[in-house]
Amino acid sequence: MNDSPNHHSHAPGQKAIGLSHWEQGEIILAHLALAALGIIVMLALLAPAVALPDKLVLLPFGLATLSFLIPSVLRRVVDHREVAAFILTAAMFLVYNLARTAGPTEGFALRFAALPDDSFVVPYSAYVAIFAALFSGPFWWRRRDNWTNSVVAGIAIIALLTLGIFSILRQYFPTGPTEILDPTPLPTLAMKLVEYGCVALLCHAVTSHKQTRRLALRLLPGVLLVLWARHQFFVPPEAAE
Amino acid sequence: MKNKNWGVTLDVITLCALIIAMCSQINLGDIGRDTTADGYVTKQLKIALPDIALFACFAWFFVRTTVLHAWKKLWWPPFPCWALIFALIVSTLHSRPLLNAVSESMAEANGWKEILKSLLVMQSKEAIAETIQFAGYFVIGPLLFVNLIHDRRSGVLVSRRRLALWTFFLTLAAVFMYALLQLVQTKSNLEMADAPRALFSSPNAYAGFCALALPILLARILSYKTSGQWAIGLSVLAVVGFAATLISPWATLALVCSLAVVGLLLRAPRRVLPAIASGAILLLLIWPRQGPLAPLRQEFMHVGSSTEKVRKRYIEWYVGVARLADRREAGFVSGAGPGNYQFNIGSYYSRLPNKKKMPPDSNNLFLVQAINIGVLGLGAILWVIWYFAGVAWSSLKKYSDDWLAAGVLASLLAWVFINFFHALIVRGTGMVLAFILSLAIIALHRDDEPIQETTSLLDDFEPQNLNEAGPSAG
Repeated sequence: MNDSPNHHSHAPGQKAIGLSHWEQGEIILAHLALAALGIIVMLALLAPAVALPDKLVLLPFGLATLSFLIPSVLRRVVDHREVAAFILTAAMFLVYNLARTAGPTEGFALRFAALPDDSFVVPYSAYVAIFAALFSGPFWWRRRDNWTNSVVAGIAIIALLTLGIFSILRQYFPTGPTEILDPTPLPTLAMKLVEYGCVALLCHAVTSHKQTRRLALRLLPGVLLVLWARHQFFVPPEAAE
Repeated sequence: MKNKNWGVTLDVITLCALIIAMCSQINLGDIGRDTTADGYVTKQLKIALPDIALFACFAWFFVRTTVLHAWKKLWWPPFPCWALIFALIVSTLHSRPLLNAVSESMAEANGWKEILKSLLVMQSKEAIAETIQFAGYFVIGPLLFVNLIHDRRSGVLVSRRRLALWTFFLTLAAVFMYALLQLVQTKSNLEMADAPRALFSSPNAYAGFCALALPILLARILSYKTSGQWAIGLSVLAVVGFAATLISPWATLALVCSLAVVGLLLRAPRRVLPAIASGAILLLLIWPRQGPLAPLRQEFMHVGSSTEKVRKRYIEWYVGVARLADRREAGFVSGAGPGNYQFNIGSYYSRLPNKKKMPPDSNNLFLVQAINIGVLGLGAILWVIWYFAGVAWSSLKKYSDDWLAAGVLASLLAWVFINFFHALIVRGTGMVLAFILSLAIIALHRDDEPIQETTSLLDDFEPQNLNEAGPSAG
């Protein structure tokens, strides 16, 4: 209903006959984005002990998405691309929040001359989100929607404010890790902005195509409830201590 | 028949009362104990007149709609508004500081009654209050305004567009006159709190209100309905008059830019260019000569002051950035909890100066909301604005002569700009935004075109669907 006019959906098992190379490429890219989200979910399952708030939000969210098992509800949501994009993004933001903690604790890290004692290890989930978002770029760039535009605009506003205020304040205060103006938060925030921006774009890529949109929404309750159960009942002994 | 007329009269009174109340921020009282005398300050919840008016009017609207069995005939707010409320709920459930405070309080509780009571700590009360307030501004407000202005609950369409807009313009004029009176009474060595602020709690809130409300008036003045010279004269008078009562240069800049945007959207360069030129010249002449207000305006122009190297409002921007970046907190996604900004910002000052108090309503809304409800909530707020801006844009394309849509677009742009300097979803100011959002829907459906019935929250959702609703809809 809200897909672009070029969009064709196919019944399960039906071959994509008569599609242009571009459209076939789009389907592949949407599936690639879905696979990337799948890896992020795996990483969230591997995350060490999670805090109470994560468990508290995963359960009701998971239970609420059980309504997607009712065909009429699923059909309604699938018919509204932006609604599906919002629901998937909200869920994946929470999942990504867990996936970020899956490691590594050492490895490739960002280092800055201004912060000689700090290193910012890039989490596994960041590689997945950033590379998958870059690969599916041609797809999501072509079919932007208001929700994704808004969340990316929010991220851009925070980034611009950060850059702007740091540039101004460094002219007035001594700057350094032990000085009045500490730049240590900047790399962490920059990484978060890029990573969550990429997750939003991946969710957008997945929901831009009806097939992947339906599949993602069908899987969502299972994903959220399994994640909740994993972190509620299977806590590693060292984390429990 | 008599009962019916009585109901209609009350509907009219409800609409007018809402519009008049939203143009003020009168404080009706505080919830919570003032502990300043005990040596420490706890946050009290302020109850503003517009908030009370909103919920009182909704109570009447609820009764009347139920009596008329007209719930199915209503226009319902679109999905982005509900998505924002969902983001607030997620933020409350996912807030680590809030849950820590609740669990600490619960640890000391014995028995069910005490456990239930212990759930209501300061942080959770703030979260509940802010969620109710946002529901008021983004769901109930638009629901009331749209359905009262385009009322089809009785089976026939009753349009109150002219009534609503003229009530708004007259109230705006009254607000201006009151601010002008305050300006005349100002003395030298003026403190910020004594600057003109009409019935708002601070000059900054008043400035924000003017920046948001005036574009609608400017659009009406610059429309084809006003003859050329009158349009130029009145628009200059409005911009210069309001700007003379403001101390915020950001709000003044927003007013001048709104004039340009409205002119651009209405394709009236012959009216707007002379208006902008003469308005800017007049402002440059008047502003420095306004003795008591000039030093206060000067303060806005500089990053620092005589007592501060950098003003606290700018330092707090960076402190907010540090809060968002905190590795220990998951607040980036869902925030620290609605309304919990103040509880979660102080410790991030670290070595940055934190002695002076921030002037009221001088926060950056985007950072405040990013910290309160995370990037998910911030995205949802922008989505609401984007959606209604899309509706106004559709309306402008549908009716190229429509001044209301141009005014709404300029107003929403001004809202985005002004919120970098004065956060405007607090204590009643959100009602004006609710009204502007509703006008976007009203602009898309002229008096002879009833608004399409909403059978589901998703139906009336995307702007292109609204556009298709067109003349044959309903």
